[in-house]
Amino acid sequence: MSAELEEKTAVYFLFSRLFREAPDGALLRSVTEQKLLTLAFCFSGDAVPGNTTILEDPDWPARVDDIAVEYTSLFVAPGEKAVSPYESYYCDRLTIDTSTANSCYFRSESLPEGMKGFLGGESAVQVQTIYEAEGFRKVTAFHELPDHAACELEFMGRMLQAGKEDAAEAFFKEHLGRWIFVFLNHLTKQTVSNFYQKVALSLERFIQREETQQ
Amino acid sequence: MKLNRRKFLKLSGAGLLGVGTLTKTAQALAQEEMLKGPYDKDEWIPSCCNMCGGQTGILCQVVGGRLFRIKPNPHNPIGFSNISDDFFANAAKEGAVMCPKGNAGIMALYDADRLKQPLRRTNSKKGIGVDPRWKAISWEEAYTEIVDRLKKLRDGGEAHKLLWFSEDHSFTHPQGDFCKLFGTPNYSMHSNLCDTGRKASFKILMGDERPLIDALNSKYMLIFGWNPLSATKFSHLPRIITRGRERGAKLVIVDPHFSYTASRADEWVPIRPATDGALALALAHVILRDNLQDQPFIDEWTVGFDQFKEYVKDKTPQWAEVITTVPAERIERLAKEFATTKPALVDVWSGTHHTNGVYAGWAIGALAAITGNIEKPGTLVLPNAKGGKHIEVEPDAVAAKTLKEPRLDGGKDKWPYFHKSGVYMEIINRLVDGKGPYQPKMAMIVFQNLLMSVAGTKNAEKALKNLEFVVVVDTMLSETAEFADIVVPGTTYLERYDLNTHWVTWPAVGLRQPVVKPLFGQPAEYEFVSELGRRLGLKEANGNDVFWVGRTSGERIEDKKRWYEEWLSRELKEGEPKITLEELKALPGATWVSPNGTKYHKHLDPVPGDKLKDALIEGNLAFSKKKDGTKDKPMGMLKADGTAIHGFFTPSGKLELYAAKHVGKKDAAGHDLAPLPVYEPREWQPSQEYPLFLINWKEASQTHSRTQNNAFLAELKATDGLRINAKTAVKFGIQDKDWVWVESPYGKIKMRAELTEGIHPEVVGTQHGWGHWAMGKIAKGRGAHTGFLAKTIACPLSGQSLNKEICVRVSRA
Repeated sequence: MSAELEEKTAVYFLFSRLFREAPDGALLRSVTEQKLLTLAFCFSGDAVPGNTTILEDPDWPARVDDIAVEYTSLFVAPGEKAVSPYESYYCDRLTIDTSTANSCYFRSESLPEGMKGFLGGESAVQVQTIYEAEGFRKVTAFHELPDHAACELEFMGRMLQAGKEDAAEAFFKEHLGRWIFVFLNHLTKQTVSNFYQKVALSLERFIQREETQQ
Repeated sequence: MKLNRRKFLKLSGAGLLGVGTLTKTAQALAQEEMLKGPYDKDEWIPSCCNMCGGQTGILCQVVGGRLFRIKPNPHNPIGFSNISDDFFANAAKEGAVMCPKGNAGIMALYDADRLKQPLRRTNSKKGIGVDPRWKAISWEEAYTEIVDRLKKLRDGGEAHKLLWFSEDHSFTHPQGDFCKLFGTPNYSMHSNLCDTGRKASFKILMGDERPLIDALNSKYMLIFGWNPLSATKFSHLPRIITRGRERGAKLVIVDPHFSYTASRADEWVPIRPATDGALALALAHVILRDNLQDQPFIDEWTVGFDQFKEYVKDKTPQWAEVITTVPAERIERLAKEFATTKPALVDVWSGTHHTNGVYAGWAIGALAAITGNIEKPGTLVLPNAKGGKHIEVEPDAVAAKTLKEPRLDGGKDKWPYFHKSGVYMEIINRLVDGKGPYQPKMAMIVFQNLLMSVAGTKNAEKALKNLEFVVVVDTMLSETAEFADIVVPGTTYLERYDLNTHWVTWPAVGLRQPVVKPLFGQPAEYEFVSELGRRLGLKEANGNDVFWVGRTSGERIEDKKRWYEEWLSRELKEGEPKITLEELKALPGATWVSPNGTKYHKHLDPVPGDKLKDALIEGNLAFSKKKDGTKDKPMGMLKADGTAIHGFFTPSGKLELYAAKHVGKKDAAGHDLAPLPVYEPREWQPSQEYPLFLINWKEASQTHSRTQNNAFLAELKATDGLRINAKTAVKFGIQDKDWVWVESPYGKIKMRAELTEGIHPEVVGTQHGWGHWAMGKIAKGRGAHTGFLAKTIACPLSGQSLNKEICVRVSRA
C-alpha cells in the first residue's frame, strides 16, 4: 500500500472516530497538537503549504466536557440542535400501507408517496449487505445503525486499507457521497462551537478532493 | 510551518481511535449469530399494537430485518369484535381493522427523534425551557449511577421514597414486582389519568370495574361523554357500533361537543359539561314515573330501589333542563325511547372527569339496572377477562419494612375507590407542598409524560424539581424527560414482548412480540428492570433470586430476554390459556382465544362446589378468604338448597342503586359519601371572570400526548384549534381563524379559534395532546397545551385526574 493510501485510510478512521462518539482528552490533544484537521483539509501532495490556516484551536483539550455536550446535542439527543448522521434520513422515503385502515381521518389520496427523514431505511439495509459481502459486521458494542456516518467512513477506510479502491469508490458513489455533503452542511449550520465546524470543514474539503480524484 | 501527514498513522498506531464500528465477520460471527434471531428472514410476524392502549392485533411484514408493513391480524378479536359469535363466524371472511395510529406505527419505530443512548444532564438547574446540557453516557454508566442511587435509598431505610410511574398496559408486572421487592409502596400507573372514575362508578353499581358494550346486538345506544367511533380505544368499536346501527339500533350521543361519533349518530344531545348525572337522574325519573322499568329484574337483582326511586322523585325533566340545558321534552322522549327499546345499552367513559363524575357514572349505570339492560345480548356486559396469571412475589424483610409506609397519595385509606394505579394529582400536590407523610427523593418515570398529562403543568414542573433524582425511560425526549437526571432510551412496542388480555367479553390473549431487534441495541424495559433488580441483589423472602431465575426452568438465566420469555410462559401456563409462550407464538396470529366464547347472564352461573367449600359465609353471601383467613372478595350468593350463584360482586351480591357501605364514610375531600348517585354541581363553575367551560377530547388521529411526533399522523391532522360556538364567538368579538388568548387563573395559552355550531355555547374545547415544546421536531410547536390552564385536582372518590374541570375566558390576541 502506498504511503498516501495508508494516510488516507487513517483520515477516514479519524473522522469515523470523531462521529462515533465524543472525543476524549487524549484524542483532542492529538488532533490539536498534530493539526490533524488541518492536514486532512489540505490533504494533497506531499507537503502542506506554509500559509495554510490552522483549523485547530489550542483550547479544545480543555473543553473536552463542552465538546462532549455538543456532540450529544448534535448526534445523540433529539432536539433542535440535532443533525441526523444517517444516510437513510437524507436519502430514503418511508411509505405506509393504508389499504386496510379504518378511519374517518383517512384522506389517502392526499398523502405523499412516502416521507423523508426516517431512520433504518433501505440504505441501512443496503450498506449492511455491502459490509457483509466484504466480510465485515457492525461491532455489537456499537449500538448504532449501519448507515451511521461513523460506519460508512470507517468502511471507506477499510476498503482503502485492503487495497480495494474500486470498492471504496463504488461505495462512495452509491452511499456516502449521496448524503455526506448535505449532512456536513447541516452540521456547519447547527454547531455553535468551533470544534465541529472545523471537523465539518476539514472533512468536506477532504471528501471534495476525493470526489474530484475519483 | 511544516506539517506531516504521517501523523495520521501515529494516531492510529497509538490506539487513540479505539475500537471501530466494524469488525471482520470471522471474529464477530459467533456473537452475531446468537443475536441474529429469526428476524433476517422475510416473514409476517403476528403481534399486538401499542400505539394506544387498545392492543389491536397486527401482522408485521419484516424484510431483511426491517419492518416493511403493518396490517391487521384477523386472528385477534381486538380489531374485529368484542362478541365471540361474531368473531368466530365472520372474522376470517371479513378481515380485521386497525386505526391510523396503528398503520403509522412504523414511523414510531423509525422516528429520527428517537432516543438511542442513555443521557445524563450536566446542568443541575431544571425547568421548562432550561437546557439540560445532555451528555451521552454508556449503558454501564447509566446502570451504575441509577443503581447507586437506588441502593442508597434502600440501604438507608428509605426505599419508600422512590416513586415509580408507568404505562398501564405494558410490562407492568415486572415493574410492580420490582417496587415490591425494592420496598416502595409508591408504584403508580396511567389508569388514574384515564378511567378510574368510570371504574369507581361501575364498582359501586355492579362490583365490576369495566363492563363493555355489546353494540352489535343492541337496539338503542345511549352514550354519554365518549367518542367511540374515533377516540383512543379498541379498534373494533367503529365496526360493532356501525353494525349495530345497520341492524336497526338508534345511536344517541350526549356530549358538549359534536364529536365524530355524534356526527354519525341518530341524535346529538348537547349538554352543559359535568351535568350528565343530572340528565341520567331525570331519565330515571321519567322511567319510574311512567312505570317503564323492568320491575321483575329490579326486584330480583337490585338493592336500594326504593331509596333510589324516592331520590329521583323530584329530579324532573324540568329540574334537569335548568341544570343541563337539555330541553325537558327531549328528556321525556329519550327516557321513553331508552326504556321501551330492548335491548338497550348505556355507557360513559372520560366524560366523567369532573368532581361529580363518579356519582354521574353511577347514575348512568343505574339506567341500565332499572331497565334490566345488564348481562344480556345488546346491553352492558361484564367481560370475562381471564388471561395470563401474575405470579406474586414475596418481599424480603428489608422491603417489607418500608412497604408498610403509607403511599404518598394516601392510598385506599384516603380514597374510597382507590385504584391500584394511584393518584397522580395527589402525588404532584404533595411533592409541591411537602405535606405528605414524607418527602420522596427519587422517581422512575417509564413512558409517562407527566408535564403533558397531569392537570396543572406548572405544578408538575414544581413537583419534578422537588425530587433529588429523576430517571425517565422513554423512546422520545419528552417534556418530562427534560427534567430527568438520567434518560434511558426505551423500546417501541415493535421491539418487545407483552401479553394482552383486555377489551373483549370472553377470554383471549394476544401476544406482543419483538418483530425487529431494538434499533439501537437498547434493552427492552423488562430487561432494564431486571438488570436493576440483579445489580441491587433483590430477592424474595425465601431467598429466591427472582430477577435471575427462570420461572419455568428454575435455572439461573444470564440472557434477560430469555428470562422474560420464561416469565411470560409461566403466566400463560398458570393462567387461562394453560400453554407456553412458544405454543402461543405457534397459534394463528399468536393469539389464544377461548372456544367457550362470550357468556351472558353470568350472575346466574353456579359457584363451583370446591370454591364454595373454602368460602367465608356471611348471611347469604360467600366471600373468598385472604391468606390470614379474613374476608376478601364477594364470590357468590347462597340459595336455599345450599348451592350458590355468582351474583354481582358488590357487598350485597346485587346491583346497588343504594350503597349502604357509603353511610358514615368520607371521601378524600372530607365530604360525606353519598349512598345514592347524587347530582351536585361540579366544584369549578364558570364565573364572570372566567365565563366559559373548557373541555378536551380524544380523536383517532392521536393518542393522548404521545404520538404527535408521528409524521403520518401529523399529515392526517396537523394540529387543533380552539372550537368555539359561533354565537359565543360573536359575543366575544372573535372571528373564525382569529388568534385568541385562552386564560384561566393558572395560565394563559394562545390558540387559533375555530368557529362552529358543533359545540355547546357555554363551552370551548380542543383535542387533547397538542402543544408540545419538546418531544421531537414534528410535535414541537403544534397547537397549545391546556394543562397550563388546569388545576391539579383529583376526583375525591376515585382519585381520577380531573383534566376537564377548567373554566376560562377567551379574548382576541
